[in-house]
Amino acid sequence: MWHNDDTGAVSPIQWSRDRRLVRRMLAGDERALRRFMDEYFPRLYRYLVLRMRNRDDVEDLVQVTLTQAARKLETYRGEASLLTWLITIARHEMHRHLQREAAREDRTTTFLNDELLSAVVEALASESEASPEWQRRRQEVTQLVQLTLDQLPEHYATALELKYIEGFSSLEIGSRLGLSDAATQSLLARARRAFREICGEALHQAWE
Amino acid sequence: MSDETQQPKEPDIGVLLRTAGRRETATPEAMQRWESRFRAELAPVVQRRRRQRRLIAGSLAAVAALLLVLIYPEQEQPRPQAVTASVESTRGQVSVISGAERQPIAGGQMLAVGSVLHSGVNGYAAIVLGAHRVRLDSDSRITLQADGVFLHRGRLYASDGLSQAVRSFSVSTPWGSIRDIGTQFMVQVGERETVATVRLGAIELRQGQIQQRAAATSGSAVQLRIDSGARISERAVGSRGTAWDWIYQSATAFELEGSSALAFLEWVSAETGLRLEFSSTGAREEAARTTLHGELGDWNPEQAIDPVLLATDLVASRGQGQLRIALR
Repeated sequence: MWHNDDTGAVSPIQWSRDRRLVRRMLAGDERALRRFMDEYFPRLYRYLVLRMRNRDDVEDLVQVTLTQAARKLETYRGEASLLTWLITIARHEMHRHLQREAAREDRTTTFLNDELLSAVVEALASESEASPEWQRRRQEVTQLVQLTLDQLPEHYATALELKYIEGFSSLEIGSRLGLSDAATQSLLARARRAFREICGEALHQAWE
Repeated sequence: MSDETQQPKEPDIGVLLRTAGRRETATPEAMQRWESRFRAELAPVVQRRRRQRRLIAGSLAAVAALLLVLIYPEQEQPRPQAVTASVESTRGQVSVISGAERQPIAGGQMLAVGSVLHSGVNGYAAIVLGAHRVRLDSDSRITLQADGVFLHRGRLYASDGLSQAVRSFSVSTPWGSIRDIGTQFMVQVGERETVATVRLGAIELRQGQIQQRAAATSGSAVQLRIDSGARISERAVGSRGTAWDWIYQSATAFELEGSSALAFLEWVSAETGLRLEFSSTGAREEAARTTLHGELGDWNPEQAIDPVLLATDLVASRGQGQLRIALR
């Protein structure tokens, strides 16, 4: 799912924005650098938290990935989103790390596939909350949703979190984001659409 | 058929999002560590690219400069201004950190963007960055940026008005950034929150896509508090008093001897956030022509008002955020 850049949300427009952001960072633009650090550091961290079983390794891996990213930033051409580019480096570093540790056992967590996702969403309504099975599936849904949110433009993800997790009305969200009510509703509609697109067909099938 | 009938129903997205909960965030300490490392790795890349660009553009620039000199031989060419900050004054131990080294700083010293300033337990500093004056409280740490500062820990106070040039200024913190909108404000970073207090003008607090604006009202300051979960609260607080007194510790001493009463009152107004008002044109003219003598000693600006004006024909009253000056 991370490599599927042909979704509606992670579009060529986003790549073009990412290209501009990288150009400005390489020109020493402090504002661009700040934006990159604020937006991408937490996403990279969450990706590695979800992928690595051993949390102690995560902070080091984020640092190693960012070191490599800084050194290779000039090679970013905008042929994929900046997040995908960062994740590719992270995956490479993760692999190297596991080889270095000579840990042959799988220390990464598997990603959801479409079948598993369907089962997870169906089971959410039927399983008892206390059961280990429910807890496991909840963890899988958490993975999917958080990875999906991180692939969305940040204002989409924020709007969805404020609406569905914090329970704010569109008026309250608009006030926080500096938008009119109409613009907020439009933003929420776009965010929901992008969320569905990134989750893909599996989510559609599970809900039908 | 509408879009909604073809797509999953909205509440289902809600179920998923609520099941997952808010996204996890890294600790501020980890973020700072990563930031320092990333900056350190990126800096040589940026410098090398700049050198390359300068090399390529060098010959063109030389030709252009020659042409300019030939065409406008007597016209002075504007020079781009380097973005630097100057140290106005320090008190106690204040140092600039470079790697593992700490160098003490002193008044008059110039600092480059990217410099990290640290004040010790009894250290205070006043620096000028663009059109803004920044006061650093004790046990605080900042990084100078092109458009403001990053406050890693501790407390700072910022005020504008040093120049008419419109230039944005912001204070970034691990929990959000504060943009100045013509103002005097204070920012404090705690372990899990940032507190921004504006006593003159307005500020805008931002965290990701969330933003909230606060404007001070006459005689009262407004405090915005943002925690690690990006929850923002707002309340009215005092615009003077013990919470603000520390800023006088790093204030540049006012030279009373030979100054006009008007200059003294304008300094008091700038330091305290009280709006200076004269009851009449006559009172203002009297302040302008009255020359003061002596020195302020250990008085802070607020304490100094009445003793200094005692020897003049002026009298001060305070209220509603105003410092009102009248003839006796």
